[in-house]
Amino acid sequence: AALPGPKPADWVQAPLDPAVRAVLVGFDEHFSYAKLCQALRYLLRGGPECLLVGTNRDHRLPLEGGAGIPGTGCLVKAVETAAQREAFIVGKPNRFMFDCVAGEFQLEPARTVMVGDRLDTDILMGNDCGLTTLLTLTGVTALDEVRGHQDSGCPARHSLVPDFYVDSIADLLPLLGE
Amino acid sequence: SSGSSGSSMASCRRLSGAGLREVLGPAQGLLFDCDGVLWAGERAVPGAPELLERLRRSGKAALFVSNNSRRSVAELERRFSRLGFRGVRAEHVFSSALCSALFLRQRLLGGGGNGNGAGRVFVLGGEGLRGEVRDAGLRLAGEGEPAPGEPVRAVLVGYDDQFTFAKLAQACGYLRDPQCLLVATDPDPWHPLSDGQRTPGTGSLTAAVETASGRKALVVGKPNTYMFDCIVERFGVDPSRTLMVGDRLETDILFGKNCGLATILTLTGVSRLEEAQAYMASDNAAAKDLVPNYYVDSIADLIPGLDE
Repeated sequence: AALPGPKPADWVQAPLDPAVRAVLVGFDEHFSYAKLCQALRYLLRGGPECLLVGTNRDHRLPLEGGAGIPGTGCLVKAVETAAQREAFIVGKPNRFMFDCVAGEFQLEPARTVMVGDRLDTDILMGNDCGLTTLLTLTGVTALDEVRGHQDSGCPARHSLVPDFYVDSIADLLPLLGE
Repeated sequence: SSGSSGSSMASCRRLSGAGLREVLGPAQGLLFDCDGVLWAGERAVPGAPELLERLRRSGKAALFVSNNSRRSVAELERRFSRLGFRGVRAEHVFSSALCSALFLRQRLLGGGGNGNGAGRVFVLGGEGLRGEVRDAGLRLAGEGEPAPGEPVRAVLVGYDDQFTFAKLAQACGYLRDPQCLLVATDPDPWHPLSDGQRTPGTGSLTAAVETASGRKALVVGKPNTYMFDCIVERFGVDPSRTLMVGDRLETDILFGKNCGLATILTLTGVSRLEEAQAYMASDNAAAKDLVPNYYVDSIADLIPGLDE
């Protein structure tokens, strides 16, 4: 609905939809202070009865040439900071999405391989869910990043280390029978 | 005494009666936060104008330190007058907008010189903030013809009710240069509106910029001490003889503690007495710095502590 007037003092007079019970933050290239204001209003009205959910925490979407645009994580952080509460994040590394898949498709974690390019989302989720994890090097991660985590004394960082790696998923072809 | 000693915790005592005179008597001056202390929205806190008048007659200084980055100090001077406060001049008012501009002037222009070659500032904020940056001799990104060799040397995040994803992306573009500073006017996550609702603060916008850029902002406002440095530079106050009066534990009271000032919490604004008491009872070591030395229901309660 259109906002009444140009200023926050006007915006907070707009009626709230009585049926709203959750604020969902996803990628929004039209994110604005006005939307942030509305999100805060719903969260304050509902308290713990109003869910705060984020699709993911990625802070950056890489583009070609090293450029990037802000990721959903930035918008989630803005809402969390204003509302002083933490969002439930659906995306990796949270296991929620794996549980969705496993529920539909009868997966056995011990016989399932997670393939990804990002350690703090793909590999971490795979490890946390008891999957075999396979890193491919065609994306954001370089091998020395993995070595760094492996050599650290920190158990949390060890969760970022994959079981295996390939230069590209094409390398899997010879491993599959004709 | 009006000072609080180094590491002992403040005890959040109600200021009244003889205690009031003991605390106010030796004080040379008081620093006041504005929103929630002197006024709420367009309404002065009852008795607040009289308190300032009585302070003046007692020969005690009153200075103002506000995290609100919306208004220039010239606008704030007019606001004081409009709300019934007499004799407050712009030079007495230290807003996060002004102090952020002073900070950027120091960092970008150094010890003096003109604006040429100093680089530009990308400001996320309203006209009040933009004006303070210009008045400090800095040039804003997006204004006028960019001269060669005038890269954007700082991104300044303030209260920006016109904040958009596009501005966030633009800020991140500038911040790819590690020489470009990231500065925030204040850390406040939200501000109260007069009907009990809240509006998002600079802190929420800064969080978005920090997350996108991977950088930590330099925060000018309370509880950090830079604004106190500005006050000392202009007026030379003695912290051991100065009281900090505020309504927000996490900014005003912590600011007082960080600057070596005794603190008074007033209950006409954001923080509740129960919150101060919870910090006092907490096992968390950092929590004790959020406990005020004293509290009053309203700053009007300070009037009996001053000479007739």
